This record gives sequence, C-alpha cells and structure tokens, in this order.
Amino acid sequence: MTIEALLQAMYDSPLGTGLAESLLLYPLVEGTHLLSLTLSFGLIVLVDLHLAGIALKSQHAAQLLSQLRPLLWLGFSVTFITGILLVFASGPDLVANFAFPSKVAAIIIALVNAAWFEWRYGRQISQWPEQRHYPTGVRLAAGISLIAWSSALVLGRLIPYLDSGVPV
Amino acid sequence: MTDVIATLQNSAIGLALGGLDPAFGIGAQLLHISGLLLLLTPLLLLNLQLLGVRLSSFPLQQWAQQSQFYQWLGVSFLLLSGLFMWLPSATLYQPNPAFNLKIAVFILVLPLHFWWLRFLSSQPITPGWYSKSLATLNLALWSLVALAGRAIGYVAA
Repeated sequence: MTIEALLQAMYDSPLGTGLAESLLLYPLVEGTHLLSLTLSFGLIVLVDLHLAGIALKSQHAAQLLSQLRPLLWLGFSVTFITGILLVFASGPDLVANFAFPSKVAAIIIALVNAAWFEWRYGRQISQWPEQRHYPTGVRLAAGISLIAWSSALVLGRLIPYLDSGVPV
Repeated sequence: MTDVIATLQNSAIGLALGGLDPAFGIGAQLLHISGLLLLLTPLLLLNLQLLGVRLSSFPLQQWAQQSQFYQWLGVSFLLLSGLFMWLPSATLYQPNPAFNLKIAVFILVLPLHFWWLRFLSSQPITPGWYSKSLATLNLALWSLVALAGRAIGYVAA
C-alpha cells in the first residue's frame, strides 16, 4: 500500500470525511493541536534551553525532567492524536506538499534524538553533580532537539501555504 | 466603525503591508504562534500548580516574577503580528464572529492576566478555591482566544 493510498483510505473513512466536512470539529481539532503545543513544544524548549546551559541555571536536570516529563507526555499525546486527526481530514494531496514530508522528517529526527538522549544519558542524569555545563553530548542533543522541533513547527505552519510544492 | 476600519485598511501602512510578499504573512503567523507559546507556557506552569500539580522547580512567586518578561514579550509578539495580519484585510475581519469573539475575550483577559501575574509575583500564595477559580478562568479565557483565533478562517462572515 502506498502512502497516497493510505491517506486516501484515511480520508474516505467515516472519521476522515466527518472531520473534513464538519464546520465545528475541524477547527476545534486544529485549535487543540495549537494549544497542546504550549505543553509539548513550549516545555521541550524550556528543557532544551536548560540542557544547553541557557535557561533555569539554578535547576538540576534530573529534577526538572522528572517534574516536566508527565506534562510533556500529556502534551505530546494530545499534539500527536490531534495531528493524526488532521491528517485523516487532509487527503492524499498532503504527500505532494513539500512541507508535510519535511515536517514528518523533522519529527522523526527529533524523536530519534530524544531516544538517543534517553539511552545515552537517561540513567546518568540523577548522578550528575550540580553543574552549569552539562557534557558536550547533552548540549548537542539539546541543540538538535531545538532545531528539529522548531523546524517541525515552522513546516507545519507552511502546509496550508504550499500547494503541491508551489508557494501560493 | 466600518468607515474607520476601511480608512485604516486603505491607509499607507495598510496598503504597504498588503502589498508585501506572502512570505511576510507566514512570518507574521509564526511570530503569532511564538507569542502564544511565550505567553501560555509559563502561564500553564503557574496555573497548573495552583490547580494542584506539584512543580517545585518553578516556585510560584519566583516563577511569576521570572516569567513576566517572557509573557510581556509574548503579548508584544501577539499584538505586533496580529496587527500585521489584520490591517491589510481589516474590512474582511470586521464582520467575522470568530474574530470579534477573539478580540472581545482578548480585551477582557489581558488586564485580568497581568493583574493576576502581579498578584502572584507580589506575595506567597497558598492554593485555595479563590486561586483555583482564577487559574481556571485565566486558562479557559486564553484557550478561548486561541480557539476563536483558529476558527477565524472557517467561520463565514
């Protein structure tokens, strides 16, 4: 099954058609997607700026992460679910839109980076002494995360403006 | 009112903004979203604590003081980018009920928001029914502003 066929099947499903044709539900899902960014993107920026040594310098990463992780998961879950619902309502033309596959690629890079960070540093964080400068790998991961999530946000906003790769 | 709005739209600034490359419009939208995030993320961390979420990394009074700059910056971004998007098409926005709702709630929530932020900055707060109600109201009104903003493009004037 091609991606176009999958998107067409999603669009033709009762959920896809219902969302696309609903005057109330679609803007509500889109608005919820936007609002959930305050928890997902907003908090990840805060954590990344801390790990990069720029913000919340008096905090310790372990405490910060343990407190914000549940909110981040909640935010990302809502962002992800509403994002999938928006894809259901968009149809197969989405693949031809340069911004959409680029956004998906940026999200994959961000997720792989987050998984690598957890695998490499996840168990060590609580043992780090109080310090202003984390290891280079941590700061690098924070920088990649900031760039990847910001790119995903910008590309997401570009989707309605790009039609089959041609700027409107 | 319609005449004033039409005059603003047809002013030199309105026409100049309307004639800009669409890339500026996209830039304004991104600035608008950045403003929303700068304003709402610190606010969420404050209000969630008042609603019972434990976040000792962000002590209420201290965080209210520290985040004030970012919240003001967020509001400035929102106003600047909002004006940029509104002015060239002001007469189109004027009869849109979602736009009018957004502006009405925005005007209502803005003084309440900064009064609330000043209040939290000025003294230690013990969460109670009063602070919980205000935190809920604050979050609900800002959510309404954002949702009404998203609905503008979908609601016929």
